[in-house]
Amino acid sequence: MNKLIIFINGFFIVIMNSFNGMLSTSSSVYWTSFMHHIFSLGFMYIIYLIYDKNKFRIGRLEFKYYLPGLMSAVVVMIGSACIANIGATFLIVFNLVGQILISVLIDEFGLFGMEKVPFRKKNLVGYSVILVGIVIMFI
Amino acid sequence: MYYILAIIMGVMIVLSPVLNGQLTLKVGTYKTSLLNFGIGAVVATAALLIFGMESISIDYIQIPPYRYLGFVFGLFVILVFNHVSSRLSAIYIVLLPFMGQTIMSSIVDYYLFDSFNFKKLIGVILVFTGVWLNERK
Repeated sequence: MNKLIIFINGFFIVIMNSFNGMLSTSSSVYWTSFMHHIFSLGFMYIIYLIYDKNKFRIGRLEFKYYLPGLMSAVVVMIGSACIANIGATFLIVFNLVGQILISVLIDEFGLFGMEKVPFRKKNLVGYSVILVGIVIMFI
Repeated sequence: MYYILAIIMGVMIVLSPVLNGQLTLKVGTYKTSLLNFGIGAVVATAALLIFGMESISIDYIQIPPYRYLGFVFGLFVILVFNHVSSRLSAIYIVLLPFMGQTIMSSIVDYYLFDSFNFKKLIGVILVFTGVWLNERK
């Protein structure tokens, strides 16, 4: 069930990027990111008031937990700038390059408190196929 | 340039749920998402004030309201990621949304930009094969 939800999430990401791409074409990426987060924050606050029964206080947090919010603002700006210039498919492909790079690093060194999963030689075949696929799209 | 930015965006897309997932285990999905958008709103406002002020014009009133709908989907994306990422292994956070995105982005490119070429399709299939090969036990 979790896997299905996160699969459907992929659809939503593209729809979100498309709307934001259109908005930034007729305004600017900064305006898009600003409106996106102001609206999101407002609605999120309503959802939070209705559904959050968890009584834990946030309190003081380590700095790294503030980073996702920062990244989320930057991601909207980059996403809307890219989709207007290189199209949805290329955006996804190069997103994937970054995603694979960082997941390999996280797995290799156990960054950010994740479990360490060292590199295996048999994965080279898979990475080569991914690389060929990206090159084919690019030429 | 935009390609490099897209790669950096990919890095951030993985890091966000990973960090949020850890925080979710401590304070729950809703507080994590609220914090996420709170900081996001602050940063986005700062970016608008610093870099985007001169580009703002009165013409923005004429923008069709439906173009602002992106946030509805963004809200669910963040909520779902924060809820699910602490309950799934990291590779699914990359693999499953990618499958969804590939399918959806081909449709979007076809209808909005009228550009669908066969090379892209072959490339996407190869990328997917590669990810699948790596995850095979």
